[in-house]
Amino acid sequence: MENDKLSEKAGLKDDYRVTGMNQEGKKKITNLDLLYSMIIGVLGGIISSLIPFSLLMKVWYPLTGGTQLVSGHHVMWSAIVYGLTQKKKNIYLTMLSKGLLEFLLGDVWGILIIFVNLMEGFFLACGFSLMEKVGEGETNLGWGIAGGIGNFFQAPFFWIINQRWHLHWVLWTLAFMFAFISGVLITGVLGRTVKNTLIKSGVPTTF
Amino acid sequence: MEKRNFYILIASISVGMSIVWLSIYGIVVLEVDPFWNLNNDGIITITGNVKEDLSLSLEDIKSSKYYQVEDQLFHFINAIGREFDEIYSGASLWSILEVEDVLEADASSFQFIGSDGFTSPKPISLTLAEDNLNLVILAYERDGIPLFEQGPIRSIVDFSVIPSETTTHWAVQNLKSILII
Repeated sequence: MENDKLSEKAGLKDDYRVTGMNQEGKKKITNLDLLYSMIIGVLGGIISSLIPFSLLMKVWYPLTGGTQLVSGHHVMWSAIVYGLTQKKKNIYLTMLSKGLLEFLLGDVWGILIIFVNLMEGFFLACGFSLMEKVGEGETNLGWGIAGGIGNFFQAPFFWIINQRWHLHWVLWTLAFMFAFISGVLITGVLGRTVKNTLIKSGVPTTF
Repeated sequence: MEKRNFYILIASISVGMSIVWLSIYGIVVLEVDPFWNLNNDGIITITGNVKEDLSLSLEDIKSSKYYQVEDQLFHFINAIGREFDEIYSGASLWSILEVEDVLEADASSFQFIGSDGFTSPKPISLTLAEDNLNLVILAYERDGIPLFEQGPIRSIVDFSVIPSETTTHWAVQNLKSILII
């Protein structure tokens, strides 16, 4: 009804599909949801594939596995999209588009990288659900822990797939701790800051 | 300060302290030198079952007294079975061991150790390096460009040398030492 009134007021005939801006409170995926997921997913895919963030760590942290401290940027993109749309489906869409692009750009893990992205998206969605249940859905703490959960599981997955059994346990432990911390700081806290900045600057939300 | 924020602070300090101590423990127990390669000279050491430990700089490894492998295509297989090729240049490992005559009579195998605590999974026979002069190298260039984040020196072993293994595990980045067993 609201849309009809707006359209009438603007002198428009209402036989066109409305965009996400007028879909407040609806669970359907809107055009804006799809656009955000695809654009931000592709942006994440390009940045994840082509920018060697690990160099930031190798310069000053001497142990192998330290690069996990910057791994949170892989999942941050879907956290931003979730913040703009509040729909968990969009987390999967973002990670799918990001994973597809990484695969097409020749990731060393081949098609497995798409599964890894979806797995990260699943755990991020779980993290957000959990935080919303305990009333921390919009706080820095809630986003941090959700981001930590979202980014954590790729580390043991890759270390097990890579069969790094021969490496010292302290390297395993540190890598996993770094994965969680990176999720908290980059995926969660930085993702929330970016999301808030985007909303303040006028980017329309779809919730 | 709110009780909630106090708990966050305590948790953050605990995690931070754990990381500091675990990192120190890792550096000590794995004999990692955080200042290795500060001058970008990439000094590696051949140690273990040798007559005398041998240290070689990047310039030494590039010198013509060792057999140099140029733009050799290497075949790799990673942990999920994905196969790919890359082009490396470097000095033949066996050539270095032979020219320097460092091996003890009963030396049988070798293992690569990186500067960041990463090691190749298990020792492989020295005979493989001897029989595959071109295919077991200490690489310093990839596609004709000096190694950057992977180097300055990286061990490279071709798939054909150890066909039953995950070859990428023997491509140790930031190579610091070679342990002769």
